[in-house]
Amino acid sequence: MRRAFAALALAATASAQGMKIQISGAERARYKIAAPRPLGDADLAAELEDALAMDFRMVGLFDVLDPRGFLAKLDVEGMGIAAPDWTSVGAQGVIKARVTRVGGDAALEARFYEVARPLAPAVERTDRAAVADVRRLAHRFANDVYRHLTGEDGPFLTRILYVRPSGRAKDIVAVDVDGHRPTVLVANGADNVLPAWAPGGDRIAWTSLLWLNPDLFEARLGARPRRLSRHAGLNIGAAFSPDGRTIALTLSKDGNAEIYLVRAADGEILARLTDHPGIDASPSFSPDGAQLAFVSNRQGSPQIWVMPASGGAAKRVTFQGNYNQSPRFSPRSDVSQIAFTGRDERGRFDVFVLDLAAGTTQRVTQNQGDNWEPTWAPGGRLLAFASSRGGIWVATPDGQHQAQIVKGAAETPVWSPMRK
Amino acid sequence: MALKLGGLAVTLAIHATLVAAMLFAHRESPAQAAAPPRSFVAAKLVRLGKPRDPKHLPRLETAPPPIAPATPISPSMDPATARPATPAPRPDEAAKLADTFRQARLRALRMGQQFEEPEGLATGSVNGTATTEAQGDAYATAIDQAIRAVWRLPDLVRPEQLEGLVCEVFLRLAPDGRILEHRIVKPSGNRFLDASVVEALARVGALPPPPPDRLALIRQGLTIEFRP
Repeated sequence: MRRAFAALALAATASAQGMKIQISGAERARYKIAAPRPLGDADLAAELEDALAMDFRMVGLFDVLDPRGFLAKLDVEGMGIAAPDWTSVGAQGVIKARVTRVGGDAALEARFYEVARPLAPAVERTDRAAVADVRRLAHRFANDVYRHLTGEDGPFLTRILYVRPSGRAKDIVAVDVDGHRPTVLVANGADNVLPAWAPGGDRIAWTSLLWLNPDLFEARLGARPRRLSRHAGLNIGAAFSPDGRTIALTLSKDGNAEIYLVRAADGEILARLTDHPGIDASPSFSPDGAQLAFVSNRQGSPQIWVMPASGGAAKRVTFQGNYNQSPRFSPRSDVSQIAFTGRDERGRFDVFVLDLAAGTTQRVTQNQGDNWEPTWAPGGRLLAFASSRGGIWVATPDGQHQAQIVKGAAETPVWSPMRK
Repeated sequence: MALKLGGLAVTLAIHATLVAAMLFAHRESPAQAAAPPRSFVAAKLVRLGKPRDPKHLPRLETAPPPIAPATPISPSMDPATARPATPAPRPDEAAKLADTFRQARLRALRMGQQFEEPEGLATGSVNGTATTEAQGDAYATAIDQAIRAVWRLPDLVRPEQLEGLVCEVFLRLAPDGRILEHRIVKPSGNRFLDASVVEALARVGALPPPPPDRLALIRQGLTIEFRP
């Protein structure tokens, strides 16, 4: 728990109506949620309970209470709640669910109660999915609860693309944010790197050495890939514009790495955005599509620069550290933040967040191995990154909450757009 | 003789310069004498070390925890004895303040200066502005401290959503300080803020008993404005 607000400000006035005082400076705390084992089919209930707990733990806004401490008589309560039993263990919200098998499907009935208003559920859902997709039932309900509590779309149905080394090759894999359901999207015996999601989440682009040159490929999910850009030299670091029509891409066809804008439909070059003897790479669009962040070593060391997405003068935005790379604009339109990988004076790589308006840099990771390649969750409340600790981790931008979501070797994670 | 006169002239010149300097210095600093006493500032000491190179990336004072732990609750908790969580004891602010004063006095002594303890009350707040109970309110301070010890707002709410919000609550107290009744008279419009206030009042249960000169509160009630 941490004090997020200024300390005491207090004034007292005595009047004919009695005394009036002002109190300020509440401490901030995570929302305490209880998700006891659902009723119904035991196997499905265990899977559902695990998925709900993982979802709420991952986002860093909730304390998921330990079921061993529950006082409620769950069999007597059924789908309702006896508020005093939940108040006693500190729960502010309780999830009650029943999951049963209907043919090859899992049928879910779920309720979320606010303990302060126990008489009627605040959120209800009846849902159905194939038995193999029982975790998706949990994610859909967790999204409902998240929306009810925050007013924002939840990230629980989103997926993360990443590169998985596989023998002498590298594959591209998509995984649910709870680390389940890994799906190999690209495996062709060659190195496939630097994947990117298109804004709709139905298409990806990546660079592959399949034809021995680092060419840009693109594919709709489940469809045959096609080569989108195959200029001699690099065709790497694709970033889709927010409208999905163009891709910012690093090409080295003229000898030096420069950033170009190409048409997403056919890969035709629309504009050359940078023109400098230094290396320019790793473009990332701002959420309104007006700006482009990228890495350039034009002043000696790799630093983050920002320029208009239509081309024009670039402005250096990082001045601390001598090796800053992989910038990613936050998807939040109300702030102007860029997450990036920086190498500190001890030679460790860590994740940082730069606030463009304030000109300040916040450190996200420290003393936890090396951490690279941050990617924002849609909504901008979480970052995911690869770590030398292994796999993919998520963290809140203040670094106070971290959780591992993918185990094993994993590189360059890219969070999908919002999915419902 | 000429030597004696010369020596006298030199002595006179030195003395005249000293007198003039003292007069001049006195005239130049009348405002210093009339300056109001400075308000007390609790300052942090500067750590012994090397200044951080401004070209380096920032470091965190404390590295973040590797994995957020789940909140364990003792499985042996008995429903019959279960009570709402009691507030964690707050550090004794009065003792801390006394210690700060003692150190400030020692420092002043070492530098041959005088240290004047700021006027206030041992039970006061470091951020208080009034010097006596008549001007400020020691009882309000005690209420503030009791409630803030248990008032928690969920992280779910972004700070910008709370800007300028106020939740006003009316309370009736028993002579021993127990809260007999509380109701929100002006909701803030943010249900988390309003709920956090209700929860804080439920958790605190009782406020410090009103002092003898405040017994009218029992009849009149008490209004609290919560500003996150």
